[in-house]
Amino acid sequence: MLKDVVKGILAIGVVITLLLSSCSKNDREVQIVALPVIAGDFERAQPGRVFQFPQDHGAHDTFQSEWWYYTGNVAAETGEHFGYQLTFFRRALLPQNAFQERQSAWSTNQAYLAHFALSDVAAGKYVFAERLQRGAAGIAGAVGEPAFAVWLDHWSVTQTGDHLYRLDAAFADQRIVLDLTEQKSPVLQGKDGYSQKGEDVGNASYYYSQTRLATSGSIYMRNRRYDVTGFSWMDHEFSTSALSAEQVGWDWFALQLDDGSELMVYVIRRQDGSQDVFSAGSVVDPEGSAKTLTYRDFQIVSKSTWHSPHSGAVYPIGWEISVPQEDLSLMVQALLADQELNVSFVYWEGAVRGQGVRQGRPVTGYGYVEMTGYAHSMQGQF
Amino acid sequence: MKRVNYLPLVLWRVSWRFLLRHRWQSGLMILGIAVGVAVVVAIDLANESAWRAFALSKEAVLGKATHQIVGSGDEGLNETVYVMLRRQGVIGKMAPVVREYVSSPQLGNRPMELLGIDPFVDGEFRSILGNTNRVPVDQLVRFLTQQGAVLISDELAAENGLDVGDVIEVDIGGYQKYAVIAGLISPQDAIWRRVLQGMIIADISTAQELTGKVGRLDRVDLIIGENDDFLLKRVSAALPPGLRLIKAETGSDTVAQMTAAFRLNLTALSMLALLVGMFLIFNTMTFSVVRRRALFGMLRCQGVTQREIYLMVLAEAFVVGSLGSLLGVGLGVLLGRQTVAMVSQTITDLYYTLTVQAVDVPVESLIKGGVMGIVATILTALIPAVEAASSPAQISLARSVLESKARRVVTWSAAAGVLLILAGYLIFQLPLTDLYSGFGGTFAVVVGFALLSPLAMVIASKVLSPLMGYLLGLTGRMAPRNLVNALSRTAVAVAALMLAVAVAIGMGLMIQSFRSSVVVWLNETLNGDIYISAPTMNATMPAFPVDRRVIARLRSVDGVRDVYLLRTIQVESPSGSIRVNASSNPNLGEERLFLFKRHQDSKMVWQEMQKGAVLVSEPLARRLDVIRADGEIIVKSPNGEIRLPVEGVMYDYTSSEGSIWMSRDFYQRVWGDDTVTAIDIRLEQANQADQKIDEIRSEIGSIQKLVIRSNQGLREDVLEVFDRTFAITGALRLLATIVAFIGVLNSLLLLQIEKQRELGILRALGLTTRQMWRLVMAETGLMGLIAGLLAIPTGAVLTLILIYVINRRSFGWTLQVYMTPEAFLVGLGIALVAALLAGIYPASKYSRMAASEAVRYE
Repeated sequence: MLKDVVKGILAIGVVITLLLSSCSKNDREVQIVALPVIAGDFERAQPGRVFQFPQDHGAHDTFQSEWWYYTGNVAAETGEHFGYQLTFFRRALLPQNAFQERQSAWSTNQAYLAHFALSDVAAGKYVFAERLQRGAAGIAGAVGEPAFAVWLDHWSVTQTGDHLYRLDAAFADQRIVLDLTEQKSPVLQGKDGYSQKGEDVGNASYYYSQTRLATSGSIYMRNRRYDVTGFSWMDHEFSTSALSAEQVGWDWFALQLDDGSELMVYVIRRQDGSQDVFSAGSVVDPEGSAKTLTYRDFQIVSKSTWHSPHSGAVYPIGWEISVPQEDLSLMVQALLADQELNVSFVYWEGAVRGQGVRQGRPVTGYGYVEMTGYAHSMQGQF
Repeated sequence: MKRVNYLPLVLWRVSWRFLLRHRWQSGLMILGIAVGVAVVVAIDLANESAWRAFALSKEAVLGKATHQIVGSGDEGLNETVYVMLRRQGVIGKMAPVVREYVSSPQLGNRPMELLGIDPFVDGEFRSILGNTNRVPVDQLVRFLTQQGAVLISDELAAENGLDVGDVIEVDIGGYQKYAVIAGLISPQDAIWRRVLQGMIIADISTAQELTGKVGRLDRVDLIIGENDDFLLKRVSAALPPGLRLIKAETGSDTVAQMTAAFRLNLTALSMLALLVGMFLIFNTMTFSVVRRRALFGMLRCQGVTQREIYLMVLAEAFVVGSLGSLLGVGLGVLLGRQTVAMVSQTITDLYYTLTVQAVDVPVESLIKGGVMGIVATILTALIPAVEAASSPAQISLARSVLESKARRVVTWSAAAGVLLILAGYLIFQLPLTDLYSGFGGTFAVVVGFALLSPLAMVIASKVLSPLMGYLLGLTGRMAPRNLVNALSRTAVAVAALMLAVAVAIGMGLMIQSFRSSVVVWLNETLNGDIYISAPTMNATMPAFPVDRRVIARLRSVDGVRDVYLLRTIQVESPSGSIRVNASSNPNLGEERLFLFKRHQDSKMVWQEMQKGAVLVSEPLARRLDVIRADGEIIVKSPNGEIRLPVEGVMYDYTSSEGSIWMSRDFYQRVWGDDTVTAIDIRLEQANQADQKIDEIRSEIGSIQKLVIRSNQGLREDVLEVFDRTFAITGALRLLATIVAFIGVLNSLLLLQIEKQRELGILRALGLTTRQMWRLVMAETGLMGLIAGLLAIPTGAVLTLILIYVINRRSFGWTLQVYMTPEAFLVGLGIALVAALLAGIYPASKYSRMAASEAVRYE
């Protein structure tokens, strides 16, 4: 749910830089004076929604922002470890009720953005790409029925059967084709999928995760094919909300542990350096039942940092996470320091490894961490 | 030898004083060069501006695209192809484009390009909306989401008093649509600012809706690395049949080729003015040198070298040439305002729609014109300079020596003239088809005739002397002798005037022949009573479809006998894009003027056409060399290349690019396209056309606003375009005549000034004012007459060359020659009037001068 804030902002950033292809910081080349936007109403998240799958896997155009977020750690038989990220963002340009249906299939009030990143741990190499499209004419979109699919150009996730999904994306000479098998039912985050993030009731999102997707498939890179297996994580969230003025960024962690459990926690960082009370998380046991964590239930301490030569930002890349009520303590370390996406928005999103102790027994696992607001504040991006 | 590599100051001063003292001649000389240079500059400006405007806007609109996916003709492609390519990830850098020519009363009713782009991907190609900065989202939301939302440049908006939120009417092929200005763009890029003067930007969805192209794209732009053959092959392989992957610059190349002949013709014509100007310079320089032979002789006595005298004359030419060129460049820029508009109009009429007019003056054109003026002056001054340098180192040398020399030159000049004419003739006999050799030959012939002028003058004087004597008495007998005695100057003046008049005659007759040919062709070809088509701003715009409902209604109109449908479309072929006219008129075989026909029976012609045979217009047939029984035209159809047998070749003046006619049934079978772009209606009673037009208009007006013209109306429109096309030719012709007139005026002035003393003596001997007038006018009139007479054969030959060589090579048309005596008489008249007008000033001056004063001169 914190992630929703992240992505909401990202999606806005996307649209803001709609016409931007190169990133030179020149003065304005073009100025546009334009008509003001028509006012309209977006739907807001309210408590008590009943989720229906696979319909709810699809797009919810009446909400302003939405995203589908796939990350995973996979390894080849020969030992090479890879992390991947494939994320689709949807952003409504206009509320549905302010948009007039038109003749052309290209007409739309929806914009889609996608990020694809691949971490080649053995080679110490990290690549990423961004694509932006209109959610129309079949170029980009998301549907829940008859089967789930979300796509933008040739990047896609498609449901291929019950609890089966295929993920396909390529950039330059890297490509991933992965089959994902859902091993646990979707975990509804927050209160039954209603994830509050501010004082107001409407300032919330709908948020669920697929926390353990068994993954197998191929990664093509360096003119080679690696047959890989591992686990993926999926977040789907939709909302109409904004980050408040004091919230400058967030750190989000999701780990799949080898005892069959998953841990997700996030911290909203406030301007004064403190952690926001809406920071939260969840633990999912091997059977798939989830327990919500509030900001009091966990603690994250940064242990080491990395200075990005690209953006100049300083990111933590090693952490100690403790969840006392689970008797869980984990040392989490980035598999690569440089997993910073320098796209229309700068953030760090990377594969990590966790190692620690739960109830006296050693536990390890892989996961993903997202950090925003380090290169520049998220404020003013609205 | 002294180390004198520069001209001593004193000689500069000698020159300067001379030029100053003879302000009149110097002034006229400068003016002559100036007009010549002005014409060259003005035409070059027009050529360059029209071309650059097009190239720049084309370049800007193409942006970084290296390749394009297009349909087999100009019908575009289905949008699903684009989506398919995107979803398959065949190529990363792709942008869809929908475009159409439109006009809007709120934007001055001129042709504008409506460009539909996808801003999500367009930044990789074009910088319309900028590619280096963040555009606030609220500025583009309306552009993307609102029906009819368009962007225009802030300049265009300001010019037309428009602002954000204003609704404008957009006329597209007879449909009235409305667009709302959702935003104003203010590009910092100068080229885009210019391009946007003729452009309306819309989101691709809006463009589809406004142009009625929902579901279709006009093209897809691609960026493919220079040597990425792998990607090229992949894209080609992924395309469904009927679509083509082409290089992005092809369009611009075609246009360059298409207009090359037109532009070269204009350039050649402008050179003519300079050529006439050169005669004038030659004339004046020779004269000034001759006058100063005594001075040069004196200077030589004082130790001035031949080389210095030679340089001195050239330096004078340089000064005069520079001043004239400078003035000419200035005049050219002024004149350019007219020519740019005229040439742009013609290009729009004949070749492609210019939505942008270049406003800045290409500096290269100015430099080119200026340098040409100076070089031409110096070249022309070479002979007089050599003449001056050869002045013997002694005081005074009678001009009679020079004149006797000049008379010897008569023979040589005539011989050279005959040789040049022969050379020109031989050039035309060579199996060449290029324009340069064509113009080379033309110049040889024209200059050859000019070189015959001295001989013509000698002969004419002899022949006319008795007659003049009979008519005018003493002065009448004196005049011819005077001319021949001053042959070194008079011949050049006569040659210049003759040249200008001959060109006027030649051009005039060519245009007249052309027009007559077009009229005959129209009579033969326009058999319809009423013609209907969607409005386009000009004939070069792609035809816009006629609404299907219109056709159904037309058939039900009372008194309509036949309705023939026409689909005009550009189709690709191995030899470039070809215009195809697919007609349902089965009488094409008899309703055209044929140059070549396989079957005489028009029913047979149609039968063959139903099977795929085509009629080819002359220019295309010539270019593809298919005027023969086994001729074939190869075109690309949706099912690949097909070979179409040539059934006939017909005269056709619609375009120099040419076209083919095929049966509509055949076209529909192969292309599967039943679009109609024009309708030809035959009435039961032809004289009811006007009445029926009103009926049809009220019947279909609510569906689509179409252009409905009677046979007569269409004919008038065609001829209007024709006349507009040749307006600039007429203007140039006039300018060349003006230069020639200045030349004659100048040489007559010189002649008379030189003879001041002689005339003074005559006055003292008792020549009356009246006789004085008569003498001067007889002399000038005689010059005009000789020039006019010699211009008749020259003009006739020039007409033939223009029709059979230049026009044929430039445009591929055969014109029937129509020579009328009027044209020659008018030419003769122009020569006489110009010459007589030029005589007025000197005649009145000397007749007022007291004899003593006249003699005191010197």
